[in-house]
This record gives sequence, C-alpha cells and structure tokens, in this order.
Amino acid sequence: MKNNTLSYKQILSSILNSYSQVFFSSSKLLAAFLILISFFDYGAGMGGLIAVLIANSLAWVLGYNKYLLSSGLYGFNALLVGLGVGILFEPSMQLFLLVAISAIICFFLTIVFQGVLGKYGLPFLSVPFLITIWIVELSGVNLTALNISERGIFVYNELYALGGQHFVDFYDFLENNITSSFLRIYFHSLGAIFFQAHLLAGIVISLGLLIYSRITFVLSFLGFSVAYLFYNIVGIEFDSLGYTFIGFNYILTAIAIGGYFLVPGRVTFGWVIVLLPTVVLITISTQQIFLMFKLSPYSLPFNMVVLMFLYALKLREQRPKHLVETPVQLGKPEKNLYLHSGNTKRFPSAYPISASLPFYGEWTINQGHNGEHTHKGAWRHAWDFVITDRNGKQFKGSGDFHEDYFCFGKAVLASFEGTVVEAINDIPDNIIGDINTKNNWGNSVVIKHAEYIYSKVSHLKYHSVEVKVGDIIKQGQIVGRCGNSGRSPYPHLHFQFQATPYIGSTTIDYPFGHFLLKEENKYSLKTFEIPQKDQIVANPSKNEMLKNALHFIPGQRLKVTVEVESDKDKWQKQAGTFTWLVETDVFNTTYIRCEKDGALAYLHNNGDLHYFTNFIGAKNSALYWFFITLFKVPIGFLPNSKISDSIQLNMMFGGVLKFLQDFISPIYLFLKVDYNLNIKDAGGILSSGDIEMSALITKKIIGRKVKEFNCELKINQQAEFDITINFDQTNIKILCQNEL
Amino acid sequence: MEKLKYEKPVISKITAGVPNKFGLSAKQKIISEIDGIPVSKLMDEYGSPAFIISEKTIRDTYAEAKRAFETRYPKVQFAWSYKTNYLDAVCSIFHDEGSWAEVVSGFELEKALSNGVNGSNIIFNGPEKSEEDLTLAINHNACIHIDHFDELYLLIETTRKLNKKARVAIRVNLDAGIYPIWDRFGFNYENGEAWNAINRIMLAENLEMIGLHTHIGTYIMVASAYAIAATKLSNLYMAIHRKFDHWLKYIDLGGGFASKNTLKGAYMPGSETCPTFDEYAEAISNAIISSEIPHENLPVLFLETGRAMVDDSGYLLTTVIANKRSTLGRRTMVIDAGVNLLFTSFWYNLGVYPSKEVSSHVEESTIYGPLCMNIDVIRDAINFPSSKVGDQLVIERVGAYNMTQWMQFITFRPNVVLIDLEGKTHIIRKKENLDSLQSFEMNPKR
Repeated sequence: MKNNTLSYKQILSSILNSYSQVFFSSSKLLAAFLILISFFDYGAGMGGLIAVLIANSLAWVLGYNKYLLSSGLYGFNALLVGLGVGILFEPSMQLFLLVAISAIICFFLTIVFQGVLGKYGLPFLSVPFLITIWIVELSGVNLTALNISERGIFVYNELYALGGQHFVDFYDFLENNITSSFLRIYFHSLGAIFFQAHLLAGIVISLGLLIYSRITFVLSFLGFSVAYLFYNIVGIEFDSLGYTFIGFNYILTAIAIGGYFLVPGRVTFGWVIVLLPTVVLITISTQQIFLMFKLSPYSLPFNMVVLMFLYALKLREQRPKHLVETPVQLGKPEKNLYLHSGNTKRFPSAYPISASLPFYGEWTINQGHNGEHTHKGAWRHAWDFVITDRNGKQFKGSGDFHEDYFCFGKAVLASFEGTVVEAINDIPDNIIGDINTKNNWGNSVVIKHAEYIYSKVSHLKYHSVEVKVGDIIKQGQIVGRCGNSGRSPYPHLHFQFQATPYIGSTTIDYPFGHFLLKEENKYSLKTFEIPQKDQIVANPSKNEMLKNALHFIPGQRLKVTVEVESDKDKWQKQAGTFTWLVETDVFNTTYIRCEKDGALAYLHNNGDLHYFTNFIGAKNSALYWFFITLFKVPIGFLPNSKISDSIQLNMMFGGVLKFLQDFISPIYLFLKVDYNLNIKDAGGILSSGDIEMSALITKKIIGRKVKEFNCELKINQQAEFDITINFDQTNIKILCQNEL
Repeated sequence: MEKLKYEKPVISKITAGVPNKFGLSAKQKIISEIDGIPVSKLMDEYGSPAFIISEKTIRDTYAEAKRAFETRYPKVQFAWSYKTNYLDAVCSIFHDEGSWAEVVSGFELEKALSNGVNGSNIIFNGPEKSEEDLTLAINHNACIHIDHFDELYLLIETTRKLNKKARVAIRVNLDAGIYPIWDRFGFNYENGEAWNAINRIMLAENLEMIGLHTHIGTYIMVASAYAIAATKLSNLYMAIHRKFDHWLKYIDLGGGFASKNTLKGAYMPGSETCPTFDEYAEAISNAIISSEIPHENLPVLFLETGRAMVDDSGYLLTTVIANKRSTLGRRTMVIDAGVNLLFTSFWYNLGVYPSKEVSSHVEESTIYGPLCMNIDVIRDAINFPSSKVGDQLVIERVGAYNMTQWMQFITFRPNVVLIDLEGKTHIIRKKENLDSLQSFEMNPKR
C-alpha cells in the first residue's frame, strides 16, 4: 500500500485545515488562532482535537480522497462535534470516549451527506455536525457517568486557571471597555462558533478572519449587522446569552453566500442583506420547536438557507451574469474574486461551448442584439449577418435579384458540434422586398450543442439544407446556404442561441467563443463576446505551429535556461538551467510545475486559445514570467492583431495597497493589471517561420499607469519559447525547450 | 461659342441587319477622365503615349476577388503573378493588400525579394530554374513548384550540396475538359506521372512536400473547368494523406481567370461572357469542400490570378497622328502607340475611346500604330467617330502583360503613371531616353 501513505505535511495540513474549514478557509494562520481559542477550554480543546484526529484517521485508513482529507473537509464537522460535546460535560476519560464515538458517527454522516448532497453539486456544510450533536444532547440526560459541565458560569476562575492574574486583568479591561452591546454580541457570536462564551474568543477569531481575508471579515460584520438591525426593527427580544449560541448563523450565512460559494460582488452582498431576515425568522421558529426537546437549533438555519439558496441558483436556465458560483475554489474570497474579475470570459465552465461564427470570410452584422427591426422582446438575443463590399453595400448592380446580394448562396456552417434537431428546407425564397409572415423563420436548422444550448440559423436558401434531423455534425460543417426565405425582405443570415429545440424558440444571451473584429483593417480577437451591430467579423484560422507549441502534454518536460542581467539579488538567483514539468491534477486541470522552486502555473487550452488561469508560487520564479507573458495567446493565424485581458491583481500587487483593495473589492477594484498581446509575425497562412509576439503588462492604480513590463516572445518551428523581459534595468531571458 | 468641329462628308453603304432608328443608338463611350483626373491634364503632364494605372481599381478588384473566395472557403491566399505586371509600384500595392509573390524566373525571384517580400511568401514556378536560382530560393525558404523530373533531380542535388531542406510542390497538368490541354508544364495527372513524382519527393530526404499546383490555361471562359481541376488535385491531396499520413498545406489553382477584354473572334464582348470572380470561386470552393477532404484538414487555397486582377486598372493614353483613306475607301487612323507597347492587341479587340465629346456618327475604321512595320495594327476593324490630328484617345484594360511584354522597338517606352488613392499622380517608370538605352551598349574600339 505504497500509495496510501501520508506525508507529515499532509497530516499536519489535514488537522489545521479541519479548523480553518469552519470558516471555509484553508489558512494555516487562522487555524492556529482557532486552535488557541479552542483550548481556552481544556475539555473542548481536547475534545475537538481528538474528534479531528479520529475522523481524519478514519478517512485515511478507509481510503477516502486524500485531497479532501488534507483540505480538512472530513474533519471539520467532527471538530465541531468534539468541541460541542467537550463543552457539555466535565473533562474525563468517559467524556473523551463519548467524543470519540460521536466523531465516528459524525464522520460517517459526513460521508453520507457528501454523497447525497454532492450529487446535486451542493456542499454538506455542517449538517453532519447538527445530527451528531443532537444525538449526543438527547442522550446526554441518560449518560450519568458524565457530569454536565459548569463552565461558562465561573468565567474568572477559568481564566485564572488559564493565564493567571494578568489574563484576568486583560479580560476585565476588554469587558469594561467594550460596552457597545452590538460589538459584544458580535464577538460573543463569533466565539460561539467555537463554543466559547466570552469576548476574548470572539476578538481573537475576528482578528484571525481579518488577517485571513478582508472580505470574510467585512461579511461577518455585514451579516451580523443586518440581523441585529432586523431584530431591532421587528422588535424581537433577545438577551445576549440566548442569542449568542445562534448568532453565528447570520455570520456564517453571510460568509457562505456573500463570498465563498459565490464569487463576491455587489450582488452577493445585496443578497446577503435580503436573505438574512429569512435566516432570523427560521432561527426564531426552529428555536420554538427545538425548545420542546431542550435542544438548540445550532447552525440549522444557516444550513437550511445556504443549501436552499445554492440549490435554487443551480436550477437557473439562463446563463448567470450575477451570483456566479465560484468556478475554481481557491479557498479565499479575494482570490476567487480576482481570478474571476480578471475576465469572467476566461472561465470555460461558465460557457460550456465555444461557438464560432457560422460562415466563411468577413460578414457584417446588420442587426445585433436588441435590434431595431425584429430582434425584440424574447427574441432579442440574435444576429443578422450580411456581406458588404468596401463601401458598405450589400449587393452589386440594382439589388433587385437574389444573385445581386453578396451573401446569397454562401455556405452557412455549424457554429459548434452537435446534433441536428430541426431542419426545414422547403420554403421558397422571397422575391426581394417581399416577406413571408406565415413561415417567418424560413428554412432553418436547429442544432443541439449541449443541454439548454441550441443554435439556429434561419432564412436559408430554398432546398439548400444539407443536413437532416438526427445528423451528428462537426463544428464548421456546412449545413446550408444563405437565402431569403421566411420573414426576410433581402438575403441575410439570422443566427441565435436558444435553450429549447424549436423553430420559434426564444433566444438566450450567449456569446460567440472567439471571433475576429475588423477595425480599420486591423483585427482584434474577441473571446466570449457579443458582436455588435455594424461590426465586421470573421473566424480566425488556426496556426498549426502555435497549436503544437501551446499544446502542453502531461508528462512533457521542458528544459529552461534563464539568463539575468540585474543588480538585484532576487532576480539574479533565478539564473540557471532547470526543468519544468507538465502535469495534471485530480480535477483534470493541467499545470506546469517548476522542479526548482515548486511554482505552479495552471493553464487551459480550449482549442482556440491558450490561457494561464492561475499561478501559485514565488513572484520571482521564471515560471511566473512565463505565466505573465503567455497569459492569453490565441492559436489563430493573424499578423498585426492584438488581444487584451487583465491579469488577476493579486498576481502583481501586494502589501498595503492590496490589503486596502481587499476591503472594498466586491464593490470596486481600484487596482488593475492590463495584459496586451500584440502578434507581430504569425508565420503566415502556412504556419511556417517563427512567431513573434510582444506582451505589454501595465499595472494601474485608479486608471493611472504605475509600472510597465515589456515581454518579447518568439516561438519557432521546434516549439521553443524565447522570452525576453525588460523592466527597471533588469533583463531576464528565458529559453524554454522540449527536453527529449 | 467654340467653333463646331468639321467632319468630312462620308458616303457609307447601308447594310441590312443594322438597327434602324428605333433600335439601339450606337452611343459612343467616352473616357474623359481617370479616377477624376482629366485625360488632357494627364497627357499635358506626362506626354503621349503614357500608361496610366489606377491604384483604386487595383485595390477594388483585389477586394472583390478576395471577398468572392474568402466568403466561400476558409483559407485563401492570393499570390501576385509577377509576369503580369512587375512594376515595383504595382507589386507593392498587391503585397500591401496581402498578396504573396508568384515568380517564374530567377530575375522575378530577385525582384520579389527586393520588393521586401518575405522569401517564404514567394511561390517559384516555371520550367526554367537554374541551380543558382534554386539555391537562392532554398536559402530564402521559397515554395518551389517543380515542373519536371530533371528539375527535381537538380533540386535534390542542390539541397544536398547546401545541406538544407526545400519546401516544394509539384505542378500538375490535367484534363479539365478544355482545349488545348496545357500538358507542356508539370507532371501529368491522368497518366500517373504526377503520382510518380509525388512518391519520389515524399521519399526524398531534403524535400518537404507542402502543396499541389496546377494552371489549366489562360483566359479560361468556363468556371467549371476549375472545378474539375480542383477535384483532381483534391484526389491527389487525399491520396498523399492515405499513403504517407501527411497533410499537404495548400492547393494552388494557378491563374487563368479571364479579364473583361474581348478576345479576337469573339461574338460577344468579354464583359458580358467572362465568368465573374464569384463564379470561379463558387466552382472551386464547392469542388474542394465537397471532395473527400475532411473540413478540419482543408488545405489553404492559393490563387495566382494576374490578368483578371490588374487588366482593368491600366489605361494607355495616345494621340491621333494622322487620318487616311485606304485604296478601298476604308478609313484608317495612325496613333502614337503601337504593338510594341500593346502586346495584348494581338489577342484582344482592345477598347479604344475618344476622350472628348464627339459626333454620334461612327465609321468602321482601322487603327494603326506608329511603327514602320506592317504588323503594327491596334484594331483592324472598329466603329469609330471621326477624329482629328491631335485628338487624345484612351485605350482601356491594358494593365496585364503589356508593361512586361512590351518592347523597346523603334521608339522609347513611355512614362508609366500611377494615380494613387488620393488622386495624386506619380511616375512609376520613367520614359526611356537615348542615354538609358545606350548605357548597356559597348562599342569595341577599332
């Protein structure tokens, strides 16, 4: 069982993460704070630790997913149970036995809920804890060998035992100086998550949250304030003690919805405000029920609301613009936000298909979304395409005949692979100027690409449709010819995305995956954007050489030679020759790992574009510069074209500026990193010769340029990358070759 | 009021079949200006005769051809056929529009390179390639289109000497259903010669086979012939993939698209009968797309259209020198531009037009050039209005081949003037003079 061994590091991180996971975090520092807090009460602290060890050992011995194990997902419910049980009774051997047994129950409940809820793509939150703690509490009366704990009553005694007179004085100082009932209850509520009933615990936790994540800290405050306000408005009586053991529901709900499971932003903050009163109502009502069994609802309201909301969001039919589920969980709201805000379009998960334009060559959009003629109401997300000459005319001669129109009879292609679900072929073309309102869509083809994503081309030429229902077709395959059937006064191509398979289906707002936009004889590549009226667009064609070079195959080894000219030691250290490895992780994500410094650069290649999605490691690593330079590279052939994006700001900003940015990041980003790639030489239409590009990376504060990095990139036939980076009298040369 | 023009009275026979007064009036077309510049002004400035080239027409024609093909086929590349017109200024316009260069000799290759064309964007055709030419082509990574086996052997030897790889294609000749079959260039498709050549090239060490080329003829008036040619090349393309697991990069269908000039002996004017770019494009694209080639492996389509691309942009301005009557009573006219400048007048009934308002009466005439040679006839029969000595005439559609096949014979070759997009004029080739001609001569001292 060689592969079932755990490293010392994995064991440690599985324990620490079990603690920080309570706040959806994987911060080691926060974990240290939390462990400290838990040991404010010896019994609870021991109970928690024992429970975590037992749950994690079970997960390891029984062979559960090691990644989830080391990220603490198997341990945190048991931890809560351990803390809860540990605080109920006086510390004793019997207590720890009880903790162990409850941890086992809790562990299996975790597995069960992970399985059940996981099917719906939902997290199991603290549901396993809830059930376990109720089991223990209900049986508590009969467990006569265990003494109900008297702690929490004689706080000073306990504090004295813990830290002597100074500690008591310090506590007194806090008690006397924090007089605002708002703050007191806030800190009490935070502490209560770890079953600690005093201010100090809450203060330490909130400090831990602040260091770990500014957004989480702000959310904890927001959630609590909204609930506090609601209590006051509707006049619910609350005494601080009864309140505290459920007050954390509001804090956790705010964190979960406002920043963790959804990408934080104004809208998620807004929903926090909307949802919290419902949490309050559920809390009050469940309390009434649970009182009958002398139980506390604990985190039940939090679990109910978060699961309900997340599940409801998943069932949305339209592609979400707001309340986007975190595509890649980076374990920190800021990171999720910055990764996402760089460019939502970078994430393929949000766009299951990458559609191309349904024609050859350059076409002009003469009606876009929300068009003035027919693209209105439920059919507003559609495009009409025509071909125009240099003077913008759509036809030659008088324009009285179909054949005069440049687009008439031109091939219409499948914008993505799929299955033909509807094909109409027998509606005659109208004479110019006339329309057919009876069969208003004319000859049309509807193709199913994915669940809820269909595309439709309409007004095709009479008897030109080359596919039939049931045909499985490839992207770019000809489906028919542009014509003038249906409600079409002159030849044009109507294209729309729709969620249902019918001819008359309403449209959905879905973008084209990639297209070239022509602006004054120059082209820029757009990805996942909606082309607008009067724009001239075309499909990019692929460069075989670039396609080959940017296809990083797992197992591939890259030999990297770095030369540095700089006064600074931190750059000089990078010089040398070493190896990069291409690997894939359990989520099927490909990344490049540097053997020298362990840095990771995650990448994605959708066949049309190469993206680097994330970088983990030191910012002076050569791999970091590779990541920055090749942040987004199109595989299309096109000299003199450019592509723009923005790099997640946490990649290039740090320190105080970023700390301040974190606070207001869901509302406004004042830091920005622009990425502009200019393709100078693309090796021609036959993909021969070197490819030359330059990437300009600009750091901006409130729109003002503060620093620029210029990266020159050359790729040759042997797929060797030659990168030169210039900034601040520093010159870094990276040569990256295939190691065979 | 200006004095009315005097016209000599003429008695002409009424021939049956000519439309009477209720039929179409023979309205004489007049070309009084080119791109907005009066012909008289151009001639004042640049003399007579003078070639005028319209940059706007070149660019518009190129855009039309490009649109015709690119809206029908995913990957299209034009290569400018140097031999059609290799004045640097003209080539530069095509290169600026994105054209590659198609050259057929060492001289043209050097010219393309001196025009700043990247060597890998040059197609090297033609039956005559010396070792020197091949060396230059290999060193610049040009695409060499092999014409015959002896060239193939020479090329293999040259690559070996240089120890370099050459990118090659073969020229294929085939029966596309038109007469005559141009079988003097390249390797024959039907008898298996082309397949034989491909096999040898695929096994040759230093040759990288990247394309297939054909050129079915010139002034081809049926688009369907191109469809047959494209189908046959597509078959070879697939055969190479099947046998060698190798996808070629392109199929080159050469040139040969007819311009709107009217061939001698044609019943209808060329502008009415010749296929448009759209018709050629439709035939070619459909043939390749509907061939066996999977659409994700479609080759780049190369076109070497010369004539149809540039003919319309060229004008020759000329002046009437004399009016005569032949012994048979036929009206004849001598102008100052002869066949030495207008090679295409041997094939076409070139359009000759007055530049000023003329009387509506036309008479069948013969137009002679100025040379002291009997063959110097620009039009042997043209209905032309009466004109006086010194009248300025315009000959249209002379952009292709004339400025490359012209001869310095008896007279100097005239100025060639380009009208740019802003309507400014530039001399792009100066009128020759005695010095320029004698500079190459050497007279042995006796």
